[in-house]
Amino acid sequence: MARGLSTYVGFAIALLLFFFVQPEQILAHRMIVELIEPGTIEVRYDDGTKSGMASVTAFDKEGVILFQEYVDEDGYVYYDATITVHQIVADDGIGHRATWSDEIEKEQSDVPIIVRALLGVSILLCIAAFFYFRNDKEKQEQE
Amino acid sequence: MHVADSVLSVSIAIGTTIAAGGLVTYALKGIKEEEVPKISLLTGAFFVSSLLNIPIGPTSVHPLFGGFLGLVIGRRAPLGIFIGLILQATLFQHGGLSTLGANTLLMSIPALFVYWLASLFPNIASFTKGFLAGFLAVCGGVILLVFLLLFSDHRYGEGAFSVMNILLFAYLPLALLEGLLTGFSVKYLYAVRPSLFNKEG
Repeated sequence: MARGLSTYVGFAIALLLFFFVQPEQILAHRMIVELIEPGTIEVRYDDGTKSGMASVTAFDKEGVILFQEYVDEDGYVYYDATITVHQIVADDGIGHRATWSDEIEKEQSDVPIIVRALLGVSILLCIAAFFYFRNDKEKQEQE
Repeated sequence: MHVADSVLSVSIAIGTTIAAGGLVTYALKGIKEEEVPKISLLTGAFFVSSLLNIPIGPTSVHPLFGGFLGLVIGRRAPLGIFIGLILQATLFQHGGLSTLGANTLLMSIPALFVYWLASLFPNIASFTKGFLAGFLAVCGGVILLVFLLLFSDHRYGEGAFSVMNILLFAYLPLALLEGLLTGFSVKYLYAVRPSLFNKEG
C-alpha cells in the first residue's frame, strides 16, 4: 500500500509543481468586467484573455437598463461617456457572469493564488494521509 | 464550464441542487475508509485542473478531468467533484455557491457515464478507453450545460449568443485535447499500477 500511496502523492505533487514552474499561467477561470474610464468597459478573463463574445448590460441607480451591447473582438464596449453607469453585468453565454458596481471597491485578494492552491491541495493531502495511516495501523493491529 | 452565480434561474438552481444532493448521497453510500486516500488525491488533481487555462477563440477553457475520475474512482466521482467544486468556489471564486449543484451535475453525470461504459467494455485497449473517457466526459458536460442554459434563459438559444456556438467553438478542441491527455495517462497507469482501476464498493 505504501507504493500505491506514493504514486498518488507523486501525481498530485507533480501537478502542483507544474503550476509553480509557470506561475504566470496559474489563474482561476473567472470573468471580470471593469469600467476602465467613462465611455469604455472591458470584459476579460482573469488570465488576461479578452472576452470576444460577452454581452454587457449597464444599469443606473434605479436598476433601469441604460444600454445593452456586445463586446468587440478585443473585449471592449464603448458608450457615450456622459452616461452615468451605476452597475454593469457581463455574460459570455457559456456560464460565466461578472458584475461591476461603482459602490464596490476594487476587488483585490491579498493572498496569492499559488498559496490558495497550495492550501486546497494540502487539505486534501492531509485527509489522504490521515486515512492512509489509520488504515495501515488497523491492518497492522489485525495482523 | 463552471457556471457562475446568477446565470441560472432560481428554479433550475434549486432543482439541480436537490439532484446533486442525491448524486453525492449515492456516491457516499457504502464508502470504505480504504477508498478515502485515493478519492482525496484525485480530488486534489481535479481541484488544480481548473487552474490551467487554454485560450480558444473569444474565450478560454480549462481541463475537466471528469473522464479520468470516472475511470479511476468510479461511483465515488461525484463525491470528489463536489468537494473539488466547493474548494474552487471558496478559494478561487471559480463557479458559484448557488450553482454548486448544477456544476456538480455537469461534471458528475458524464463521469458516471464513463464509469458505466467502462464496465460494459472492459477489454478495450487502455489508451482507447482513456481517450473515449476524456472526450465523452467533456462532450457530455457540454450537452448538459447547453440544456441548463436553454432552460434558464431563452437568450442562450438566439443569434450570436446561441449555445450551439459553445459546442463547436470552445469545447470541441478541449474534448480532443482532454481525450489525448486522459488516454496517455490511463495507458501509463495501466502499465505501472493496474490495481488503481480496480473498483471497490
